[in-house]
Amino acid sequence: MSLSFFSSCTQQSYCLDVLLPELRSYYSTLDANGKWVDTTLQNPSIRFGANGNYLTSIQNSHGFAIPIPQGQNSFTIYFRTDSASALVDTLQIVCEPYRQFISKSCGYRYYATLQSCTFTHHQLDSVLVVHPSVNADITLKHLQFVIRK
Amino acid sequence: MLSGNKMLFGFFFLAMSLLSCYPVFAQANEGAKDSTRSRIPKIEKEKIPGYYRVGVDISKWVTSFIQSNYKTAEMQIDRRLRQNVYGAIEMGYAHASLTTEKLQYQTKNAFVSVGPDKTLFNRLFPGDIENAMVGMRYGMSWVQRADAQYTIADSIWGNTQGMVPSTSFFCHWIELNAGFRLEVKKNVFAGWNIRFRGMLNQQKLKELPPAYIAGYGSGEKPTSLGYNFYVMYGFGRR
Repeated sequence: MSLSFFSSCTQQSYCLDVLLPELRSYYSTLDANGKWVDTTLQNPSIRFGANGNYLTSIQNSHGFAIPIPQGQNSFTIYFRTDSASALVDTLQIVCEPYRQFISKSCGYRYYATLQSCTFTHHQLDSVLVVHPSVNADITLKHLQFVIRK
Repeated sequence: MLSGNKMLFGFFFLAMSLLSCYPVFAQANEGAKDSTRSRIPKIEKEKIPGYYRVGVDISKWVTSFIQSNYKTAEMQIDRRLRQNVYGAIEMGYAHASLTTEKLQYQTKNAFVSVGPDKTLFNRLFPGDIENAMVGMRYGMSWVQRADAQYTIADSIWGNTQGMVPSTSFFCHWIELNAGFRLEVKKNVFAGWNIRFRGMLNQQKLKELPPAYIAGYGSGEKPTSLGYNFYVMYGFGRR
C-alpha cells in the first residue's frame, strides 16, 4: 500500500485526442443568376492517402472531410461527383504545415495553412479556399467545391 | 482545470488559512504555559542560538527506486532564525525521461527553494526542537531538455517522424508546506511534510514538459501536491 502511495502521483495518462486534423469541404453549384447554392451529391467519392488507396463515398452528402497528411507541403486527392462516372478530377492542394504540441500523451500534430488548390475541370467548375487554417476547430469548412451542372 | 487566476487565488486562500491557524495553536499553548509557568524557564528572552539541521529526503530514494522514468534526490538545510521561525533551503536534482510511442525525450533539472518555517507550538523546555511547522517556499529550477524525437502515427498518409532541438529554461514556483519534525535520537530528526505548489511561469512548460521536476513534481500541471520524508542531523547550540 505504501508503494502505491509513493507511485500514485505519477500515473501515466492516456491520449484522448486520437483524431488527426481534417480538411472539410462542401458542395455547391451556380444557379441561373450566377450565385452559389449549396447542393447535395447523390453518390460522390473521394480517393486520397499516400498511394491514393483510401476511398470515401458518402451517399447524399453535402461535403466531405478527410485527414490531412502530417508535415507535408502538398497532397493530392481524386474527386468524382458520381462514383459510377469515369470522370475523375484531380486536386493538388498546397499548404504550409506547422507543428503543434498537444500533450505528453498525444505528442505532436501538424496543422496546416492552405496556400492554393489546382484542379482539373472535368466535373468541377471551381474550388475555393474558404478557410485556410486546418486545425483543431471542427466547425470550419475549408474548401468549397463548385460542381458543373 | 483551474484557470491561472483561480489557481493563484486558491493558493493564497490556502496560505491565509494555514497561517491563520497559528494564533489558535498559539492561544492553546498560551493557556498551557500559564498553568505550568512555575516549571518552565523564561525562554522568551534567551538569545536565539544558531542550531542547524541538514537532512536528506529518503522518500525520493524510494520513489527513484520504484519509478522507472525518473531519478531524483533532495536535501534540506534549516537554521533557527527566531524563537518560532526557521529559515530553510532545499535543493536537489532530477533526471527524467519520457518514452512513449509518440514521444521520447529526457530532461535534467536542479532546483533551490528558500523560505521560512514557523513552528506551531511553544517549546516545552530549553533545547526542545520537536515541533509542527507550516512554511512557505519560493522555488526555482533550471531545466535542460535534450533533443526530443516524435512520431505521428498516420495509417492513411504515412507516419511522420521528427526531432525538436534541445533547449534549457528557467521555471519558478511558490509553495506552502506543513508537517512535523521529531527528534528520534539526540540531534537526529525525522519528519514529514506535505506541499502544495503553484507554478509561476507555466507557459515555459507548455511544450514538452519534463516528466518530473525535482522540487516540484510533474511538469505538465500548473499546480502539484507533494511530500517529503526527511531524516536530518542537527548541530550547533540548542
